[in-house]
Amino acid sequence: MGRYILRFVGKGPMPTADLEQLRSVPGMNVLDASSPKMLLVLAPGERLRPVVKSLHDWVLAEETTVPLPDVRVKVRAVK
Amino acid sequence: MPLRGMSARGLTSTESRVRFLEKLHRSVRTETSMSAVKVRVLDSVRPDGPKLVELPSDTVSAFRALQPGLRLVPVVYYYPALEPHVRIREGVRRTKTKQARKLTLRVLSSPDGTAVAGAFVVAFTDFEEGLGAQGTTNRRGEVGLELGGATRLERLYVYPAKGFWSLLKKNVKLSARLEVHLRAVELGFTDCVRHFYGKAEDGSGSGVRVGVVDSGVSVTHPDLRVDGGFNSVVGEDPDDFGDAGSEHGTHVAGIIAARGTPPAGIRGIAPGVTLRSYRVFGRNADRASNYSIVKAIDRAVADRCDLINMSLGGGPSDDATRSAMEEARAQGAVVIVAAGNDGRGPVSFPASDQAAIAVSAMGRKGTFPSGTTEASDVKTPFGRDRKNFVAAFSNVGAEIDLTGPGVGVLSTVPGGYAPLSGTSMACPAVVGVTARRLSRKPDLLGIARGEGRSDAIIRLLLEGARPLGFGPRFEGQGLP
Repeated sequence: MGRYILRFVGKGPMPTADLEQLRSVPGMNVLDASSPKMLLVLAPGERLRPVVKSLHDWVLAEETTVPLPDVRVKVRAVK
Repeated sequence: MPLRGMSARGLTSTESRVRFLEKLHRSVRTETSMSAVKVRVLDSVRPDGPKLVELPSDTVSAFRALQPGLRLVPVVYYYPALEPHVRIREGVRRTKTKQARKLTLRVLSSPDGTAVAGAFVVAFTDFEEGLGAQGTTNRRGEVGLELGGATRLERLYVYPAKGFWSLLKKNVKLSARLEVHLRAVELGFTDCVRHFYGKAEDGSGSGVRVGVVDSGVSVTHPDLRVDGGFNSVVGEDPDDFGDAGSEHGTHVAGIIAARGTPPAGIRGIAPGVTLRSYRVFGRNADRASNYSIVKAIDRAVADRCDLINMSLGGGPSDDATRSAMEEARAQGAVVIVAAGNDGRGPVSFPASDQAAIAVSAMGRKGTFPSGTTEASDVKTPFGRDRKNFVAAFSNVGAEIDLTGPGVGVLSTVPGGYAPLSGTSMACPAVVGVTARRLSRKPDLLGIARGEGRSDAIIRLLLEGARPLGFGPRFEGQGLP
């Protein structure tokens, strides 16, 4: 299981038929649906990927994080 | 190829771009000159489609300035997907345990000797190996450091939370109690941003809407006026777009839009902009999800921001972030992104993406006090004016579009003021000066929101830059 972003890149709102197909992926939970173009989901990647590939105008991306920028030097190990 | 696909025709195309692609199509196997850029067209899929071109790597940035709506993708070669051979790794070194020695360091204010609490102290006994100890000062300004059997510190760094300049001391002899004194910040000091951009006029940047995608912007700082915003962190209040445990976003916002007047306050480059805060870091969190970032970009575009500042990056590239930045461009907004602070590392994502304007950081000797940590940011290459340098921490590469002042920049932080360094600071400097120029171009701001508008903004930005002599890999088109 992993956290994934499903983003609709076509025109207009996310198609209902596509959403139904995505929601039918076994083991998938929608974590956030507050965006008009995206869903954040928890799903088994091996089941989600082929469904997304079969749909037009959707991109799939794993949820990742970026660090808060900080240029301060730090010790790597205690002497 | 056009930013959003293989064909120039369709939703996002412009007539001039189609004409340019068609011109290249007619030039296959010949050399075409555009200003100072020579392009050899090796192949073309179709008149309005992708081209295989050859051009010197130091003219990539100039090409982007001429054709900001086109994607220039380096050719890569793939290898057969065979299992790699195993190789021996370098042996792991072991360090000897020495008798522990504890040092108490006291950090005091230079003018009056009062204790400085909350300062982050980093003490190196071996700087190259990264060995030493670190900690944060308590209310008495004291921090305890376990330093083994060391008798000297190779380097001592002190980073105060606010109100003071940092400190760097080398070759410090250790004693049971050690004291250091920090210089208080004077808000009228000419740092690198003020050196290059001077004092902003009242209302400078008016009519331009800027979105800061970051850790939130203080809504109570007297020098900042936050028009609105959005918190895109899943599970948090969407209306809580103020600062949330980090000074980063407030500092970034102040470089662009602070409205104070020294010596009582501080002023950014474009105090007249309409400032909006899009918080993507959770409360007291030190990492942001790409989902939050994508949501924030979408929201900033929907809120009709003209410029979107993203002083963040470093994760793997992903199609969702790329798609959001491309959509922003297609809707007339320009996303300006910090190149990253990995010390001459490659430009980090999302700055490395063609849809972003990537900003490196430079500094200038004499625009920070001596004895501060900024001294360690001075590194070659130097510019034609030998006081200018590319910051040691800055990432560099062919994707760099511009450079900005980012060493020892004074700005707002929650509850006060502080100098900070980073491409995070250079990025809002570029956003601020872009807002200033845009504000003087109502005709440009009045263009219907679409890719033609963002292309025109980018052209204004890149054509207004002047090279400082660092070379395109370090500065792109130069300092705007």
